[in-house]
Amino acid sequence: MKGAVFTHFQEMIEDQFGMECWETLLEKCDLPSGGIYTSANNYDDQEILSLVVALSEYSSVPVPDLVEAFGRYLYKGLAHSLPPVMMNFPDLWSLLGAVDSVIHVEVHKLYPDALTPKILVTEKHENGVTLYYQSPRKMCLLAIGLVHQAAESFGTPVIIKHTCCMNEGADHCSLLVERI
Amino acid sequence: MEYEAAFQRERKARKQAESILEQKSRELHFANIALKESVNSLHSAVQENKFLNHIGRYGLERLRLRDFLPKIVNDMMRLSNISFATFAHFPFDNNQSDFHSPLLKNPDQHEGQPLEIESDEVGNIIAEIEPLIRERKATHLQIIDLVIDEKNIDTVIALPIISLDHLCGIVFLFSQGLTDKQTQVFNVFETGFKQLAIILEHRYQEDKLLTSYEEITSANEALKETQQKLVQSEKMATVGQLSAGIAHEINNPMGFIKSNISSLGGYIADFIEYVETSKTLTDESIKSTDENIKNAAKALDKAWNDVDMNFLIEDTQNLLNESQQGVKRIIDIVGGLKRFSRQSDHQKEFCHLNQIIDEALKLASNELKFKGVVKKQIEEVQPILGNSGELLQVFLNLFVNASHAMNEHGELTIHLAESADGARIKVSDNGSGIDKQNLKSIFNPFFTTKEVGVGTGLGLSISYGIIEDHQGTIDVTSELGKGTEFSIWLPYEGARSTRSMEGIK
Repeated sequence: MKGAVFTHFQEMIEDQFGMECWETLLEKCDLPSGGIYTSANNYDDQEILSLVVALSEYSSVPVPDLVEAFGRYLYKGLAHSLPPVMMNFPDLWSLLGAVDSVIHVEVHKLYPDALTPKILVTEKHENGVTLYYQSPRKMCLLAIGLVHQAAESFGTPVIIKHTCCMNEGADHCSLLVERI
Repeated sequence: MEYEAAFQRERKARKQAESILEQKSRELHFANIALKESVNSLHSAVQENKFLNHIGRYGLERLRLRDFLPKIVNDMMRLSNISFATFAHFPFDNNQSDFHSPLLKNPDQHEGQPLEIESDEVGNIIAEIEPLIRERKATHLQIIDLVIDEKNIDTVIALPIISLDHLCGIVFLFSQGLTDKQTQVFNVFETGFKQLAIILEHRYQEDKLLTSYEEITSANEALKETQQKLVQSEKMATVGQLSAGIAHEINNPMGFIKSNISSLGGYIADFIEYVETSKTLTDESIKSTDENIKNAAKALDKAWNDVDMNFLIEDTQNLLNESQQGVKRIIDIVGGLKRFSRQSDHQKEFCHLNQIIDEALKLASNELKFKGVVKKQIEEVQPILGNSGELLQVFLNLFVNASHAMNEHGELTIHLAESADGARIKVSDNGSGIDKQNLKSIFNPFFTTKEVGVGTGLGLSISYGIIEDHQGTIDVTSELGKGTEFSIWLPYEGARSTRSMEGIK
């Protein structure tokens, strides 16, 4: 997984739980990288899972909630890392439609080896869209957090229904995103 | 708290560094793309060069267009990344048939599979487009709906090769859509085809030049031959004039020599009678008792014996006879020379060649009867205005010559037929033939291969003169051991006057 995800995760922990918490997590997880992350590098997926599990234990917050919360946090960081012209979307729906065709294409320009999830708008409804999510990492909750935060940044809060999920054995996730 | 401030500074520095790194990565990405584009365009340029180079090579290799086009079409498919193509060739020469190739596959996309397919649908499309190209003589693009080899083909591009306003060929490209890059490549194809057209034009002109060169060469040879014939007839004419002069000069003295010899014969007979009569007087006088008479008679008798008068009497007769024969021979030869040199002033009348041939055969039958068979292939021909005696002499001459050349298994063929406003007579034998060296000279006066005294060498030259006098032609072909053929052509009255008119011009 990209180093940027780790650095944002670290920042989130420092912000929300303090630097001691981060040090505690590192000590507990004994990660191969030693917790030294830069955005330019790639790190084992397992490290982020270990860190989330450890944080859940530390904070007594369930893992899914943590992942979604991190998704929300991550949105701000990722949105800033893209060139400003790339983030010129008029509304949430056009942003969601552009994830795969514009944003991930841009990511691949910088990191040709990045493994980005497949996120597509498969259906448009009066009130929202159906998102298709597919990734071997099965981190649909992270995606949900990201979408929520994006929705908030556009001032159109949404409700997301997880109609089918990879973690429950499906080959992809379907997310029904609807305006509240 | 101091440490935290320091830590936050470090973190900011790291983030800046990361952001710079991203910026550089982005730049690298674009540089990479530009580089890839350069490589691609270089690759295309190389392919284009290869294509143009192949076209250039066509000029050197002198292939037929239909043998060369597959190579070019393969180049084109590779260059434009098009899956299928076919081509047609329409040669300049109308005697050569048009050619339509089978559907060819892009060799890059079909390794190991057959590269040619037959398709009726493609044939129909081509049949539809071809007349349009003939009319417009320009690149043609048409939307179609076709599936070849499980590929949806929606565009056909027809590129004509036009040289000297002639449609030499068309290349059809079958494409799935059309990209900007392909459109660009088509410009290269058009340039290439213009070059090809120039090469074709050069080649066409070259061929034309070669043909006219060949025509000139053969005309030149014909001219040389005519010149040789002219030289020959000029030579003959000179010999003719010379002969006429000589004949005239010889004729006069020969006249009085002949008459003198004849008179001399009479005188000699008288002399002999007198000498023989006086011999009886000598014989009687020897018996005389008169010594004077007896002595005189004895002396006379001695003289008789000394000069061998008996032999003289006998031999004088022989000598005179031989001389007379010699003179006759000389007169014959001179007569022949005169005839050869057209000094004869015999009247011309309409004569029937088949009758003359029959008559000549009768006269030569003595010679021919032991030399095999005579075959006649006589067709009806118009009468010829000529001298039948002279013509008879010509044929007789040829028949006798043929009989001399043949052994007992001989076969003499006489062919008579109409030919080009005249009659053609061919006299061929299966005799010994004439070698090349002699063939040149056979119409020359005094040329003979027969033993001295057997032939005068005038027969054929006289024949030549006679045929010339009739404004005809006489030719000979011969092969040693196989036989000889004389071919005579005599013009009809009408053709003859035009011929003489031409002669006047």
